[in-house]
Amino acid sequence: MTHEAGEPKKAGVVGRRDVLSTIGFWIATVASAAILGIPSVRFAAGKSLEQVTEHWVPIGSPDKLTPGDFTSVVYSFRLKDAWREVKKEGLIYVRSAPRGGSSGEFLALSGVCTHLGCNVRWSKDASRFACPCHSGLYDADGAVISGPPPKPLRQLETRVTDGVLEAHI
Amino acid sequence: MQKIFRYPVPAHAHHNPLFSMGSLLMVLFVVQALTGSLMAFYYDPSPDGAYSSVDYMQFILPFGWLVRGVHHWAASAMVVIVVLHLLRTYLYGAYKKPRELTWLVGVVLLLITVSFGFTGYLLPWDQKGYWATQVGTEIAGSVPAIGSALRNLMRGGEDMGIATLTRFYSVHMLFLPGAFMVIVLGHLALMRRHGLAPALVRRGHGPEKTVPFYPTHLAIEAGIALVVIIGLVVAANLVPAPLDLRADPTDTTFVPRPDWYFLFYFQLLTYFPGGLEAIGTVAIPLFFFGSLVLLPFVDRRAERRPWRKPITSSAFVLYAVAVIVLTIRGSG
Repeated sequence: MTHEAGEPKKAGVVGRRDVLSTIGFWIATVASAAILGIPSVRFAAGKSLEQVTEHWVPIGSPDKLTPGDFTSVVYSFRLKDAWREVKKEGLIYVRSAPRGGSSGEFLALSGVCTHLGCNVRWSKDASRFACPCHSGLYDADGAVISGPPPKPLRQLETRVTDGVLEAHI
Repeated sequence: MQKIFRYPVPAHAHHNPLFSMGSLLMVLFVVQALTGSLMAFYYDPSPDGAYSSVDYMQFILPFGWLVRGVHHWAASAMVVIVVLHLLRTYLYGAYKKPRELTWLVGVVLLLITVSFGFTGYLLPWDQKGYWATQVGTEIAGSVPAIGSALRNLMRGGEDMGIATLTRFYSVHMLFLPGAFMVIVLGHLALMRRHGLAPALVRRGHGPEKTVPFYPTHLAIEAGIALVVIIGLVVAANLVPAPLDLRADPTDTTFVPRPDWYFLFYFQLLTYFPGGLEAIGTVAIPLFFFGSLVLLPFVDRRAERRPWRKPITSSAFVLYAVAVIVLTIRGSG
């Protein structure tokens, strides 16, 4: 209830109006926050948690690969990224006729280190991949030899379509 | 803290929703800051990307229509509420001693509020925003002596382009919100220092009854804020925020129009062509804002009842009628 200015409220006495006002204030405030807050969180998340679309990217003619040795291939394709069309690029290592395997088969490895995403380098002499960031080492099949990488290099599915070798990224 | 939350609110203010307009403005500012910041997650402040990013938000992202729609409608609501707040203060004579500085700070906040609207309108880089800003900056360019420099400063060059968009974005997102927050704190501090103006008509004898700011008065204000927020969400759903065609500087068919709260001024300028242009672009705005600034120093009598102040009350009626008539004519 209203009280005269200057009339002190008794200490410790909480009127019914105070309780109802407090409850009403917090209900209105929480409701306002929820009405805007919940859709806002969903809006902010946007499409960031959606699955990345997969693509088959052309690598080139299989004849151009050096048998038994990795060839580094920079692929690029156009992609819708939110509201823009952008060029997406990446690095793949491809080898034909893997050790012990029959000809016509290919091994395609992602060139991205599984530790923190740096691009690895293939050394033919050492027959291994080395990551320049934290010295992670992978063998010719992409398995981790030493260093911090937690997983082997990602192996990519391949196919030949109309004479063009493609990798699935 | 006790002083802040147990502040005694006079009963005449507690029972009159017009006395909650100030608080509602702060709630609307928070709503704008939230929705604006969220849109900044995706907004691309370049002529190449701005339109597409707004289109993406509006039609692709979950609840994008809601975030952008609430931002659009809350902008108009802020203008309406700031005018109601100003009118209530004016009519109740709450600009008089000792509240002159509170009034002046309020006039600055009014300018900031309309500046938000002016700078935000361009950001989608659609036909409406582009051409309204083209016209708005040309109006600035018609100020005698300094017009060209003023226009070029606003645009970041002679023509509208990327520098126009980025500086309008920066002013809208950084300078104006920062200034608003600092100045509002000053406005609140002054308001608390001098208290609310007493009721125009006293009933009975003895001191006026009061209620504590928290929780009693704040519960009412929170209720009003909730109703307004629900209204904004409903409005965003029923009438989505507009997005015109992509800006086209070569278009000869588009008829520029500013947002509704600038229509009266846009229409006013049609009556001052050629050599008389400076009257519309400089003299009249200066007179209008000058009259607001000088009001507490011109009207110094203690009398606050509007029916006992024929000059200021008539001026209010004249201004209101002029703005309404010009707005209607400008929208035609």
